[in-house]
Amino acid sequence: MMASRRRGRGPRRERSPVATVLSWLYALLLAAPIYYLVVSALKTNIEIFIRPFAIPATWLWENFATAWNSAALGRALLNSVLICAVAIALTLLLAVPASYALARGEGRLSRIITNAFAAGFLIPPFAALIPTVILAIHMGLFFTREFQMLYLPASALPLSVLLLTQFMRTVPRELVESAALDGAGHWHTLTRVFVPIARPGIVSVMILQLLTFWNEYLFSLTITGTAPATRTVQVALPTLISDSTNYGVLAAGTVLTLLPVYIAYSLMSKRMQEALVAGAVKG
Amino acid sequence: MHLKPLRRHVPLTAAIAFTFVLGACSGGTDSPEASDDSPASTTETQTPDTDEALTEDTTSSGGALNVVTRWASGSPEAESQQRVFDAFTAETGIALEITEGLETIDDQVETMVAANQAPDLVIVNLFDKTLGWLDAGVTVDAEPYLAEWGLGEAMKPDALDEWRVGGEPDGALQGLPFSGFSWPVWYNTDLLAKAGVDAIPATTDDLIAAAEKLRAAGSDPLVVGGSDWTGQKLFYQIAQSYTDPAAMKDVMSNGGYCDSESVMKGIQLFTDLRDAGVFVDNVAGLTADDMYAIYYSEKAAIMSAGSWAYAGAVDAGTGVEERTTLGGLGIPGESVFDKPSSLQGFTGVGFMITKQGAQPEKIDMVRQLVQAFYEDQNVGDFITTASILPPVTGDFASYATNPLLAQALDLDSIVSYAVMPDVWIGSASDPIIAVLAGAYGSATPDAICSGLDAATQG
Repeated sequence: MMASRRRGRGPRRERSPVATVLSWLYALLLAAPIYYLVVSALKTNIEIFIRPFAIPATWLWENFATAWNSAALGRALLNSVLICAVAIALTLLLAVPASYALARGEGRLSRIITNAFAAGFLIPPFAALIPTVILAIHMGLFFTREFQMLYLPASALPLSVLLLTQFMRTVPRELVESAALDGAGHWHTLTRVFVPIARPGIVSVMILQLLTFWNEYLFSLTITGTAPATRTVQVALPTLISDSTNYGVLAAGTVLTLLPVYIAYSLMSKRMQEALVAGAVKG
Repeated sequence: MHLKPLRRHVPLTAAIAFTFVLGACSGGTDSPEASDDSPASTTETQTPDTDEALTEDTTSSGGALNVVTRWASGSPEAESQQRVFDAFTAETGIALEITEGLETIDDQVETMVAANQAPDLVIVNLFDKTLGWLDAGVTVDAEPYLAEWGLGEAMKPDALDEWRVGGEPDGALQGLPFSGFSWPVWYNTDLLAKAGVDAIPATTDDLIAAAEKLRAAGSDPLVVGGSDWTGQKLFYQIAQSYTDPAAMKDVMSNGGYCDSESVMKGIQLFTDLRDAGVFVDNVAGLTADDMYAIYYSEKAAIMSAGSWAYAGAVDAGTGVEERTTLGGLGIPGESVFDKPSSLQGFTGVGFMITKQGAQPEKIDMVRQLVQAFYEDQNVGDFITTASILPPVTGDFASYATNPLLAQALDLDSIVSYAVMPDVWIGSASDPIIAVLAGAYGSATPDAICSGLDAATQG
């Protein structure tokens, strides 16, 4: 009876106990810092340093309100959301058509341009900081959010274009020819054929760049500045550090800054997984 | 408030700042166009549209001051500071555009100067790169304003001298001191008594004996941040036990630790104390935050910490402040100190006036803001909220509501003050901390002195 049931379900791969244990250990390894951060957000300094992994003796929920008010996190979150939204929109606006052109181009020029985008990886962000600051000053955009909205897409284009180009190259030639026979121009071919098929890739780029943009610190600190009106959440957080830092409040502030990006990732992660799986199958 | 060299991107931001300051100081900020530029950053005090702020010319708008402050939102001083700002704007109608300086405040200001968006006033501690701002032309000599603004008489001469170039009475005044600090040794008398130590150790021999008894009783002895600025200060406090202040300042400024017999004797004393178990185990890996937590939780009986920690001790909620007696560090025989040693200083936070702020259209507004900070009730507010040591004379005893601060007011009679190293070691501070982390480990006196010489001489 049991045997027939097993046959009915098809062949079943036995899971190695070692693999299970290792998987759980890996999961714990990833969960430990998150647990530490969350419990620290509810503790006093003494508890954080003396009993770092213990459950809080007294749950200090007020740490969240203190962090929110002290660092003006509400405004900083809005600034970060605004900068990220505009930067993501600009990135896609530029990267999708560029990728389409490169994916359809087959000549030497196309390869040269693709390689030029790849060369963007060779420039370390630190090396670009000084010229970028000079550029911001000369553009009259120093200490503004607007410059960051322009700079972030520029920095994200190499990876975005290369990723999307690879996705778009998987579009079957027959589909493109069929669309052409139906009289579709470049715009319709891009929006009706390439974008729907490359949608998982677009979502992947969105998630990857959103994480990058959200966590960006160095350029935000140097160019956007620390004024409450313009600073991002990553720059606002360090204002909670002082000669007598309340680490519970700092951890609470960190949790608050992580939440938006966690929610965004949760909403888009399914698409990203689809994209990764699609890539694996097609590869 | 004091010197906390936390820097994540120092090398890079320093490179930017250096690049620009070179350019700016070669004439950029001197031009009328540069000096009239308005900063873009604003706070709740006045929040103009960013784009407008960028192109705004403050000489035409008037009534706005751009201030960069070391007291960021998370610091206890920020509350008092905000009260001063709010009252100032309400009374004068002058809007304040506040930029919170983070751990890289010196780099932030230098970048602003380079971008022709120099602030008018910088509220910052005197350390490392800020020590070079007057020479670099970022700030101006504050001496002329001292008498003109009616601050000269009330200001303590010692506090002013610490802000003068070279610490000399005739040196140019780099800024106006505001936030001083005392830096005593904290003794948990309950833990000492439980270990059988009936009196605060007055000599290094007493200290060693107390450490032995404390360890035997299951308590940790002296805790300090061996890997940061707190350990650095304690080291210097001990190392100068046999050296007169003038000679010590010279060694701190120019090196020569290994060549100075008296300094080497002090370094030897430090390693003797270390090897005798006076410091807690693994002290080389501890930071100031570890130190506070260990002392406040009453695991260690002795700590070397400044007045900025008085409020934190009460906030910790363990009642440790009631069992703490402040004093000095035990001294050896033949010491240059006649009483247990301690530190104090006024290089905490002060007001540095930039070239931009010294412009005729700005200086009167700067004056009004600076004077507001020095009003008795505002100084008192800072004393109550953040336990600062005021640089001005006056009766502020009623503001010292913190029990530890109240104790600290009597420190002068029971301690001798050692030379505070900050001004003298200057920009070598960070490399010296790295050397001293080894000193709190197992480094020999010879290794320590040669490391300090190398760090000092660059």
